[in-house]
Amino acid sequence: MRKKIIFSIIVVLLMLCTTAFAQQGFNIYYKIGIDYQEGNLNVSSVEIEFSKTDIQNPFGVYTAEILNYSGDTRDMIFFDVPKDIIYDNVDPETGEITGGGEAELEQVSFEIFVPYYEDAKEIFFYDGSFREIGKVDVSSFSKQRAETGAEIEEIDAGAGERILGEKNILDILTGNWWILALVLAVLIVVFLLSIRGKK
Amino acid sequence: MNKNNLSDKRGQLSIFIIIAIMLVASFVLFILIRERIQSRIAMPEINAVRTYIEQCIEDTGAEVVYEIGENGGYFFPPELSTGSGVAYYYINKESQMPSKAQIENEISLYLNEKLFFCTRNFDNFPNLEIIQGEISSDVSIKSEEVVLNVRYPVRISRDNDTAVIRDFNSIKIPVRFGIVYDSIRETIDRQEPSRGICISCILEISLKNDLYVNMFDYDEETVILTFRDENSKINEKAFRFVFASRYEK
Repeated sequence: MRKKIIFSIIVVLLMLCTTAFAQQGFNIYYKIGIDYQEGNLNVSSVEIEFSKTDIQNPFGVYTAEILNYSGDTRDMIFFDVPKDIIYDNVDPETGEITGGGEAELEQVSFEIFVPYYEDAKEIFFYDGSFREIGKVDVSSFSKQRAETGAEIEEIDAGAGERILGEKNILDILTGNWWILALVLAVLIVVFLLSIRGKK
Repeated sequence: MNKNNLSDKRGQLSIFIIIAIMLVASFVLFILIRERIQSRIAMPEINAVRTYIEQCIEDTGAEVVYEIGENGGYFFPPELSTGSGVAYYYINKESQMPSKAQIENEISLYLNEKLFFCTRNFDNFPNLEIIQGEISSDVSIKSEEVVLNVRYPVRISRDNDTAVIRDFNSIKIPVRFGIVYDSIRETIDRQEPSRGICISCILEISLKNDLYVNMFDYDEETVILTFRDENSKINEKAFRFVFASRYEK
């Protein structure tokens, strides 16, 4: 009976842990705004996007390679530049479609989603023949650059806010106690001498 | 003679005490002034970093609060949601509305996650070496505002000077979250399981709290409700709280 109770408790705890983990789970992506112009890519913006689901980009021959601080590849994703469009020709008088075709835009703006890595430094972009056509520095979002282990623990564990030039009076007096002691000693000597002189 | 001698000594003692007090006071004053002079060198940059972090807390806090309103008290829609991701607050004749504490935790969780990305490793301060610690926060939903108390430990160094700033307290997001939440709670509590949604209750509650309520049928059994507060606007955007109620036939 006791074993059954213990087993039930373990099962319930495991279920609760799994549920809690599932609720906390989410993905982080770089949301990168790109301006494409005649074969070159310019990054117009980089933002961070949180998502509960996997975000896939339209598949294509273009590549985004994520590099860490050691220059190693962390991940690669493929995407397409939406420069090909399909158009219809419409007769303005009748409103009927008279023809159509495909066209390639010389300039287009779009967004891609690239998985976030805490140690990512740069993202390089390549075209179908693996020629570098752009890059973006993402180190400002890197947690590796921000974290330095022991130093963080030291900051976290510190007591109270302490700003240079705003030490409290007790700190100041404690740090300069010897000046105070010297002043008092001189005063005591002067006092004792003055009493002796009177006698 | 003895009396004169005694009064002389008392006089000497008084003078001595006065001199002692003046010396100690001068010493303390000197130290304080010296510290103040030093602080003038360091404070502008420290204050700039502090203001930068405060602005980030305000911006990210507002963003998270608005997002959580749109998602019915959750940053991401919960499992018990419609197909389009609207959280059910009333289903199977039972309230599924999250408590205020649950929503506060949700705001806190995502504020902690998002705040790091707002400060962007302090790239705006290239002359300072800035090391940051783990971010934590305590969120309190009040009637007229959401109060954020954030611990964001940051060590700022330049040459031999080092300063630590850590706590950013009582940062207020001017959103009537508490009023909106209590209005929805009252609406849910006054549902009539057998007859469906209580329209007159919603009208009364919205008029009482100066709120606008939109309703539309999601399907034959589900209604999506949006409580909008035109008194809570950030960047011209009114605060909205969206949830769903399902009434089985």
